[in-house]
Amino acid sequence: MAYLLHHLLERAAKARPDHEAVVAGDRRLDYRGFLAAAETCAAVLCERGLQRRDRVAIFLDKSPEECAAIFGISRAGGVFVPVNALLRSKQVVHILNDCGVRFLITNAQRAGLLQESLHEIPSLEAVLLVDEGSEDARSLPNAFDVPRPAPDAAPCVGEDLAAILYTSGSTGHPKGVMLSHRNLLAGSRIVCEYLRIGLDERILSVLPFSFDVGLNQLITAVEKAATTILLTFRFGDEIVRAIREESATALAGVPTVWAVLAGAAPSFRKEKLETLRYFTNTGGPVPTETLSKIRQAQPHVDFVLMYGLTEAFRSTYLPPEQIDLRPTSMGKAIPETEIFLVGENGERCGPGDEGILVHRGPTVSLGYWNRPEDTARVLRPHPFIPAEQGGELVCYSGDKVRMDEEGYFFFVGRADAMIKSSGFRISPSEVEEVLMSSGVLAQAAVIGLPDPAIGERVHAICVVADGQETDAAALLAHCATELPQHMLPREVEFVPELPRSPNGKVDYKGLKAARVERVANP
Amino acid sequence: MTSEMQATVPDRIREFVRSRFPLARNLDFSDEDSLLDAGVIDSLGILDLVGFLEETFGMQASDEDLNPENFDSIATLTRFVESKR
Repeated sequence: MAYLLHHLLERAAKARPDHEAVVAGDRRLDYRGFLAAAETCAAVLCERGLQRRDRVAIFLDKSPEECAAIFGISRAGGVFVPVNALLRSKQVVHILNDCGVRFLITNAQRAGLLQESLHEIPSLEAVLLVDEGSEDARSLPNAFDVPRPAPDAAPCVGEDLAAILYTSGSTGHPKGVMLSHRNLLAGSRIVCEYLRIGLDERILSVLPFSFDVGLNQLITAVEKAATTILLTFRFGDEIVRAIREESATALAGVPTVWAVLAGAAPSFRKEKLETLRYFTNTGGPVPTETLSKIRQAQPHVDFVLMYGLTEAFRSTYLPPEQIDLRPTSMGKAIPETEIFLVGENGERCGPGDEGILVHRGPTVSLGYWNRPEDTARVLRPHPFIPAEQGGELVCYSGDKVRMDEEGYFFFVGRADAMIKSSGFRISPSEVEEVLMSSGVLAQAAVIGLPDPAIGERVHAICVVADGQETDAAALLAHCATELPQHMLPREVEFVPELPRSPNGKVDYKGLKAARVERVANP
Repeated sequence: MTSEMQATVPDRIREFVRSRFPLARNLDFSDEDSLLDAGVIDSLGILDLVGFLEETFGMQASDEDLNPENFDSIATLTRFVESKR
């Protein structure tokens, strides 16, 4: 029976050893090879003394090595922590320290980027390189080159922690969402069901595995012993070429991917991509105009709009036959899951009312790593079923949502200041902290302003400190050393002082409302 | 003649790249250095760059123009813009 993540891979390798599992450019791995690579990774980790529940970070570009590491860490009984390849060393160090990783799996080039910061991570015992690398005391070049037999099975159960995915909230640094094996398997089973993922699926994977949706794509493919095609792209036509050359049947994207395909991928409009069966979107709404361009270009492909948050993995999807009836809807609850809205006074909302979306089901995560207070805010007792009568923890999303008469949900807005841009969750305070570290500002407030291509764009409002001088270009150059591109403000604005709300806090709502108004009525 | 009109094509492209992708400023880019290899420009950045070129230079990027050869560096972008005028 499959109850741990790597059981899915073992099952696939037994059923279809010669079937293509992972494709990355010219490199192709069948399920036999995929399992062998994962088992070698597990053996290396066990030889180095990995214990059940130890955390192992993966900082790699999309690659077969990254896939093997995910399943290999699971096989060894460890917890994998995929780190987005776009992050700068400051964020990587935060993640590795926050969950106290014991091992890091990366490549020589990325290890080089982190070289100066590695000593800031006391828990890190060894850096396992998937390629050759410079001899650093703690790094092991070509760590997985010699195939090894699988180690003894770790005595894990489905409730054990399998992965920690880092994501941002409205304040502070990214938090690690803890997912059990049971969570991951439920997420895969549920998505396979509603997307009707089959044995011959060829899933084009452009989203990072540090993002629940990207990770879920890989797991669903392995569950069905189907094929994952890995792609890192910059030009829209690279996606089109990969679909054509690899006969992809599915593509999952965030709003940015659709903006690129609709606006800068000429071949996308010119040829029918016959093998494609469905697109899925998550990470924010797709603008209506972009959506209709995509659908006009490839009318035979189903477009499935989805909504979820890492803390509960996936919550809703809009069946493709509903998209013309409700093009702005988030859809309805995914299988095995109950979604309801809770109003300001804790009451259950009826149709038409606005409330916070609450998620109940098998993909509710185990909370944030080492952050009981934050966890208690998001995972709360079921509001209408007492614990002593079987009520369990449910996930409060923090998203304001409305439901129509037929049970379809519509996104209204965030209840807090979190920014959602290009599919990324961005904490304003993390950007503000970097702005303030320039040393020339008295105050900084960061907000998200509506943007048709990326959902929200990061906008900084700054107060220069007395006796200091700066400009937008200098501040942005400072930020670029510390933050990845998607977190950089698109615009820096200077004001004499920041407005305060009656309780003395910076009035984010007012700042945002005034600027949204200005865009609407210039 | 305003100063903006006197600015040359590479000047204006450089200015845009530096403001939209602040990393380029820090890396002290020459006009020949590859912006793509250094990871300065991502997929969304390409989209913004196309919008900027079309708006600033009154040109229309055709289907075949959107490729790494044209978008690799300030120098290749300049040649691309000049070939379109």
